Amino acid sequence: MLVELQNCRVIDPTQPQLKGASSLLSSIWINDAHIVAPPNSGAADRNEDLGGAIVMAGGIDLHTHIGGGKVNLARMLMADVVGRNRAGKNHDSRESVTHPTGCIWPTTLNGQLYARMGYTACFEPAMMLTQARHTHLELADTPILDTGAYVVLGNEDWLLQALGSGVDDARLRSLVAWSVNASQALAVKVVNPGGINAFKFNQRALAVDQSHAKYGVTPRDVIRRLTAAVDDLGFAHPLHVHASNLGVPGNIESTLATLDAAEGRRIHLTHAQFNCYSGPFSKEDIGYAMGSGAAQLSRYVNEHPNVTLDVGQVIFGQTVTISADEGAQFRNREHATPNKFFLSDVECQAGCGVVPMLYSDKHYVHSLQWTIGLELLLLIDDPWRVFLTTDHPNGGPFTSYPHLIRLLMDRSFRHSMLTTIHPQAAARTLLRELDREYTLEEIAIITRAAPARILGLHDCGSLAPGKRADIVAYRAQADWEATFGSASLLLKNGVEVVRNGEVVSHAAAKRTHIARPDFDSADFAPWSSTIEQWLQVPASSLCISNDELAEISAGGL
Amino acid sequence: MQGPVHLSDQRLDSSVCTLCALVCDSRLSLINHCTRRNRWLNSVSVNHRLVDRGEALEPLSDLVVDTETLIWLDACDVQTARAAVTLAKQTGATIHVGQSTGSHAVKSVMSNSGWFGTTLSEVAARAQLIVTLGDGVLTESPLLAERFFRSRTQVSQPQWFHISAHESSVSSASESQIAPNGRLHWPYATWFEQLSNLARNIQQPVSQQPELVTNEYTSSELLARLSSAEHVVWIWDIDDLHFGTDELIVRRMLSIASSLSETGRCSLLPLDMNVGRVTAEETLLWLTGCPGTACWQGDRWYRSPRYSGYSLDQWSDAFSKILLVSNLPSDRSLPNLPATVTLQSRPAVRQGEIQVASVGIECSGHLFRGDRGTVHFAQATQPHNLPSAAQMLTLLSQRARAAGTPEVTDAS
Repeated sequence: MLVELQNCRVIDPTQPQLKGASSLLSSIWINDAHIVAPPNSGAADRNEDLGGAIVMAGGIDLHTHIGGGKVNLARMLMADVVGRNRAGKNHDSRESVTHPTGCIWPTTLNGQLYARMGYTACFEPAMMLTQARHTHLELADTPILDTGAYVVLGNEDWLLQALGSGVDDARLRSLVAWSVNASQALAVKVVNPGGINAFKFNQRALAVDQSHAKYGVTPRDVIRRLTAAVDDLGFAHPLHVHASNLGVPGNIESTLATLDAAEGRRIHLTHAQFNCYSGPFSKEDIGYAMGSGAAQLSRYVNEHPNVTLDVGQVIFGQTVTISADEGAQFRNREHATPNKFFLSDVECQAGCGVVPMLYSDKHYVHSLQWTIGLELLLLIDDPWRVFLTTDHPNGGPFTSYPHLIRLLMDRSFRHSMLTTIHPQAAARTLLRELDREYTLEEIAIITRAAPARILGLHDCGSLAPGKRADIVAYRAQADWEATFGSASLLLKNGVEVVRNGEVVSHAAAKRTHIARPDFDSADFAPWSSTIEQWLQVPASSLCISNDELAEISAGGL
Repeated sequence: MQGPVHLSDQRLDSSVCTLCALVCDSRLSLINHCTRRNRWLNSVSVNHRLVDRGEALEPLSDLVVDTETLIWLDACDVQTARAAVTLAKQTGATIHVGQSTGSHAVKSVMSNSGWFGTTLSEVAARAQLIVTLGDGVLTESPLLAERFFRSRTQVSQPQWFHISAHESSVSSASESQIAPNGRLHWPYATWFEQLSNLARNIQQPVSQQPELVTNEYTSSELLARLSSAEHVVWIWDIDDLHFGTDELIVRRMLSIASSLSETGRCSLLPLDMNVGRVTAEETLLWLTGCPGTACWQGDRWYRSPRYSGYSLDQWSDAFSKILLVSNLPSDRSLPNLPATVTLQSRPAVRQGEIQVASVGIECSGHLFRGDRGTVHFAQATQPHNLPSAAQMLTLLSQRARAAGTPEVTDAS
């Protein structure tokens, strides 16, 4: 069916001819699931007048924890907490765990809440080989959204052992490629390279150039070898890196060292805010142990085109932090609010740490974290290399994106917020001096066009003819937060799924985005028995076939 | 229509074994040494009879699922749990995953404290000292020690210390080829006291700990080993804890783990032998956000606090109809509930029982391992026309929809 969306204020940074034309109204034409060029003649089968609404491609979140073992543990741990809203007040006398004001939700509500904000694709960034089935099962039960996941590598005993004994490039590539194929992943992530494994041997810190007590390998070695393998295998997405020393005062130095370890190859630093602290300072220096490293990191990114990052913005209120970085979460357990946590070693691959967190604007460190995220977003020049995330739910829930967009687009609102945070953090931040306001086009870049490009989603993130008809309309409201908080219309593959901020259908087809790197099975063969020795199961039992993935997806609700 | 099939002369060789927490892959050669599995294979090959589809569906014809119905998941795969959630949402029925006292105790502590956990492969890879508490963990999982206490990757083998509840069973507790390095007899009634003593002593400086008795395995020997090992794992069968107050036993083990984790590594590994229960719990949690029990009320899922700690009798009294689901091959008996309809993997012998396809034999399904460390795909090895539990539940949903119960899809 041919549909014409009329009177659209089209914001699409992928079409250079539209640059600067955001005040003009035009039409977008759709034929079934795709955007098409306006027909030379003839009328549409259906017209939809959007009345001058802002129209963008469907939003894409490249880093959000919405499925898998850690997420489910967080649901369990927070079941008696999320019945309250993020300010801690009971919203209902009954014990509900699915209220939109919470911080972690069941799969169905994840899909619905993202759709209401105009998002159509989300990516789970921490999938372990042995838990890949769990992750895909949850993603299949997340309605509306296209999904994908990044397989976590860089702490497996078999990998570190091999790196320590100088495994050759071909064999390493075969392991990376096999892991991606076996788990049906889209990309590769490394979490605290070597550091999670070191923690299992009670080595509680691992600096970038420090040797692992058991395997001799350093985090720099892991980053250098894996960035090379990922590049050589031709992945669209660079190695997705959760750097060493997350949350530690002064970690900006190890973050920059981690980026250097890529030796000029493409590297993506994830939830950078948590790895962007200056210090450590003594109380006599500034009164607090840490400050902002945003200026340093931004300068580095601006000078190194091989580097991209997503922010991991902190949002004040109740949330729960979940990470494979068990050592970091072991440290964070001291700050758990409410006072409970879950830590676990997991299957010779990584760890698991779930720690509830209440970010307070009266707390110096939390306020500092809030300023650092915004500083990064405002100091990095190229919007194609910085991505809007809260590292849901670690910095805060993804439902705070509209608020975050307002902070970026509205300088006076941002400055007014500075009066509400801890005074020492407000006094030290660069935010007061930063006048930059994001344009609509830049918002479209950091929330859809750039994520599509860096993930290799060639038919998403754009409103050009030939692309998928994932289209959102936002009616102008009193402020940008209200505008982006509720889509007036969302089409997914051309199917209407949201109207006036309410989900009206789950019927749109979903896709699982995967990568298919080639590898030589002869190179992989020796790994197979090694993996079986560590896991006590045949390596082949970890492989999710295409048929099985289809069965998982088809069984989704 | 396919007639009744008897499998007495066929080999029931499933892709994975679901009888205990380990979920052994049939390609592992040591699976042939599992005494529990071999006993089950012998019994099921005699008793296993498959009915045809029409015969199976008959008892379902009178069942109307509504708000007075309790859907009790005893053991099932992911797809069946998904179908049960859909049915509960469609009809307003309450869905509940059966809990033992022990599993309730562990979850209560886990969700309200700080927990130090691990998974099975980590035990083999890194543990220096493994402490097994109670005999269930060995009798229920005969291959546990063979698979996970004999390291194929460590230079030195882990030390294994077993604490038995029954003196007579200490020597015969394990059917495995490897034996504990140390054994201790703690009557079940003394576990809390013994663990309390251990927890208290571990918090003392080493110089103030009790003097060791050499050449004899005692609590003080265990204390010494715990204090000197760099990586300790406590393992027990989740169903070995029988009383509500046993939550205190779990808390004492957690206290020990917490103390040891200040300077070394110590983790707790409660194994759930009912992998269908683990699977149902995980699935219910991601679909509803509710641990254990969920009810859809108008626009969202709720977990009513009043059901917390309910006994089987209380559950029976609270609902006029019970739909019981258990579709994994199993040698466990079903919970003693007055079920209106039971969807089960074994042949129906009573009114209201319906035989459905067994996961991993007549139908495929995804199953969590008993430590939740991984998910297996149990492929159908002998596909059959017998309906699956998921199909049955979907049929009930369709019937409810046709009867005019609209499903609400938006939680706004």
